[in-house]
Amino acid sequence: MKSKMIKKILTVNAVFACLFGVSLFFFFDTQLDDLLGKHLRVHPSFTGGEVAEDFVETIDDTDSLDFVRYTVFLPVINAKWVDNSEYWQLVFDYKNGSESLKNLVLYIDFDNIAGGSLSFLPDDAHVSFDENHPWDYAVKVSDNEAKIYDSAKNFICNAQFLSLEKGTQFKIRLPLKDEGLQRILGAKKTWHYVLADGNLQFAGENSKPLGVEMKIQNKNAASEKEDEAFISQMKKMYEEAMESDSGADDIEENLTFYKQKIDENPEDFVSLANYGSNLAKKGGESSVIQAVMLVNESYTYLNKAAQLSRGKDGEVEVLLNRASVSASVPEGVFGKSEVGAKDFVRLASLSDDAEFKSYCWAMASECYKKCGKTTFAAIALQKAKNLLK
Amino acid sequence: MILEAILLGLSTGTYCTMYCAPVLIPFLFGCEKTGHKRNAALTGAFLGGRLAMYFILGAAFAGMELLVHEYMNPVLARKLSVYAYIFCGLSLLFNSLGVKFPWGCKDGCHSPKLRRIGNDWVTAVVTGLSVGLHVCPPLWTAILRSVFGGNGISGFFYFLFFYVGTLPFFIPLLGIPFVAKKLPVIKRVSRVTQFCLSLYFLVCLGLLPFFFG
Amino acid sequence: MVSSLILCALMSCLTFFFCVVMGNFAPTSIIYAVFLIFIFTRMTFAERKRIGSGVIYRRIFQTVFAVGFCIAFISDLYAERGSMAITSEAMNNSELPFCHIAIPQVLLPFLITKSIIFPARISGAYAAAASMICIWLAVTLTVGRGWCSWICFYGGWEEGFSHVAKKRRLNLLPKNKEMREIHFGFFLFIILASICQLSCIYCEWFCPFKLTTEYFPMNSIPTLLAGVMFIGLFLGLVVVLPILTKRRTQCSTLCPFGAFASLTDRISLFRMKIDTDKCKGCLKCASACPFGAIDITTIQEKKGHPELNCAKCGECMNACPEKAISYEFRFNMKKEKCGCGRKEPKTAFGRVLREISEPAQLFRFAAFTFGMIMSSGFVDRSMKIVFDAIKGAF
Repeated sequence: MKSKMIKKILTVNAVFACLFGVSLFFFFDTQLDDLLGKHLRVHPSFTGGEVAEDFVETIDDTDSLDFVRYTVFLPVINAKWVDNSEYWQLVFDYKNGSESLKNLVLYIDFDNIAGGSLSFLPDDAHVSFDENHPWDYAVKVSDNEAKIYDSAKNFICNAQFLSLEKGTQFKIRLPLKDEGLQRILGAKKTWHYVLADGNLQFAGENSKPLGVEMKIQNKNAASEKEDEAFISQMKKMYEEAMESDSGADDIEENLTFYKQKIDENPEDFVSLANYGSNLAKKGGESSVIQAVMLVNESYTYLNKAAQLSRGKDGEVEVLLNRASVSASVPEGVFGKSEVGAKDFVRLASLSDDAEFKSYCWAMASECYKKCGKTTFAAIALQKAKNLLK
Repeated sequence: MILEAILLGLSTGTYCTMYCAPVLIPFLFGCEKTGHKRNAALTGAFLGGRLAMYFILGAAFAGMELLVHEYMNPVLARKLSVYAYIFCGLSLLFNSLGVKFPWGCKDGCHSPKLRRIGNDWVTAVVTGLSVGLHVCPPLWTAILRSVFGGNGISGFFYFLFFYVGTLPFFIPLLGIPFVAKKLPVIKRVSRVTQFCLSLYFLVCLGLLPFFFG
Repeated sequence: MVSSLILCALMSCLTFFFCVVMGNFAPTSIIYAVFLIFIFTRMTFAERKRIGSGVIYRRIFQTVFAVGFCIAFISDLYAERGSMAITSEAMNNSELPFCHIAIPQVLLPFLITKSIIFPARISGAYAAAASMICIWLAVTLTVGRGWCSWICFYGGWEEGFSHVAKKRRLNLLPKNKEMREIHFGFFLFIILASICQLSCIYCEWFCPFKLTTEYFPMNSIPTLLAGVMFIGLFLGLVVVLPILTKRRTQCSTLCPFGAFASLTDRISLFRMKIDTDKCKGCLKCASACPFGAIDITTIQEKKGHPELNCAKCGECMNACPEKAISYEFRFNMKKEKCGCGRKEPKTAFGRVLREISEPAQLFRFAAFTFGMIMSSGFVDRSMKIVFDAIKGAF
């Protein structure tokens, strides 16, 4: 009797799993992937090693995301499926792929190599080296290749050089075949001078090199939680501000109202944007099938509105509608997070209100994080915080 | 000092699994006679060979003045590994053909001429010696500390305790006869595995890198 | 009849959503959706007429999926990288597509190193590691090794080639046991070698499907040798031997995922059952099995189920003249000598429910749903490519 009952329950579960469970799984596939993806990572030997240190600097203080980033990795041994089994990776990211990257020179001081040089390779100038940190090895990047020199300016070997992300990222892998370069394996600290077109990057007014502890970078989980709390706070602030301004809550009424206005004037971009936004809201309250159809339809209106409103009054309202929709729809299904982030960045540039700008930068940060652009996310968040200081 | 040495030995877990498990697991599962004593003795022979090679390497490194850095030259380590795979692969291949061929031969013997050199005991010792050629970072550190740490006797014991620290990872192998008894099919399956591994070690990890870098 | 109609209607709705709606109502997505609904409907009603007769539709579906996947995947590679060969950029950026065959190779090293020993995207793309692992888990819990015969986009090649020849030229039935031993022995070798090297050895040296997806550039002797090996394995195990033996030789002797799925199949919902009372020992099922999962001894010793490596394709059901083979729930595998314990439902509704909850119906539905969803994007894109190519030619 008991076993029959158990079999019946199991049969019902099997029926549900087979008829509905499979399709439900694919509906929630993105969320499951993200959940599992948080706990997975690729073996460091494939990605260039563990990160020792990374330095990010925004290029200017305007509402742009121009930045330079320099990441130093720990050396890798026994790497598989790559040209060099032992290498040391250094990565440059420039948002705009500046031309000056073509004349990049790195001067590196190893703490376990005595001596070094205080003079430049030919064609470099503008700064001087710290006497306490004469460089031991230099990597000169030009014409899509990277050459390694020792402190006596002798050519050692070519480094593997890759220009990625449409020229905005340079990956340099120094092969560790040379016994001198192999000293990196025992180095506890290294100092880096990063020169682009003869100018020292990351150092500000002085010419101090970047110090890098050669151990795995400790990512602070607490600071990530702080960031999330900041973004939630900004969202709450905005919602409170919008509550007092909000109009009708009824979506169908809004749709009818805006449809009428669009019929009267097909180029009324504010109505187009509001119609699109309400369609997306309607999708949020519908079944999954309808939701996908409605959100896709809403973008035809939102995109048209954004196009028509460019540079005109009302652009803020239009972009705000589109950005809000982009930030709320699942990235895995619609892939609109980057569109949303760019809209929020433009909104920040169009407004003078510090709190609103801060909200826009915070939302841009969240959107960039969703689509995997972590550097932009970090910079946007930094800007959001700086505006409220 | 003893605790430090043992802890250093325990830190080799990943490397021990990487280098020793592929050799020992199919080898021990594929044995004709799967008694606990024989299994433990073969494992002991393997470990003895490995220890002997570690001492030889330590003496060679000290003699060739290679112990100047706290890290092992990775290029040299890879070259030693190539030799390790060649000898290990050859030994496992002789064992496969001479004693443990998966099909069709009486007592697993495909090539009677290889019965002596492919004998289980010889294979255990030779593969132990070969696996000893894989130099992992903790092993390098242990060699450095035992050579430069103090006088000869304390250095010797430091290394011995380091080696004792690596032994817990081999304890699960003592359960092989138990599993083999429950799953008799695993003997033939392991023999296929050993044959494939021997060819893979010899050709893909040994001869190809040896000739083509 | 009603139960079949309900299932077909449900499948049509799912196909409409996953193919047509997600494909933005493109004409090719509509064509493929119609094809899928046709296949499923024909399969369901054919099974009503004669048990096992629906297998031809499974074969057609899987072959179409394999070809469509190949076309779409290769074109994606050309769009992204400009070649089928793996570029340094893709390798350095960890952008290699992660396929299911890598899963058994990365599991144990993951426990040791807490990382995936394959340079793939972790999430956010269709061939990301997290995505494939989630799909594998869902498939394992439902259809188990039915993946190989219903969903695998590589196995479709062998499915197609193994039905090219009318007559079998080479009989491998007496060697089933040895082939299984080779399969599991090779699987164990792959696992141990992957632990040894902390990289996916099968992908590096042995995968024959590199010919239909991507491969390492052959710019050195070792990579050239690897190239010769995978091309040889493809021609031998995927083309020639299936034609000669009418079996899926790669799937049943080499594929590590197949061996792994055989082991994890124990947690799936379904299993094939052989009713030893009805079985007359004709061995037609053993002859028909493309995976060599029914030995002569399986029937002679009245084991009551195929061997471990059964992929639940249903070919044995089609071949059996006594209808002694059926799908069954794994939790219900105990032998029932007669239907005495089972009460017949009194109402039509009850009868319909009983029919819907038949293990065979549920298995086919679940397996087809997986296959339909996973194939929709690829086959749709491949059709677009083919139509554009034909347009371009004219």
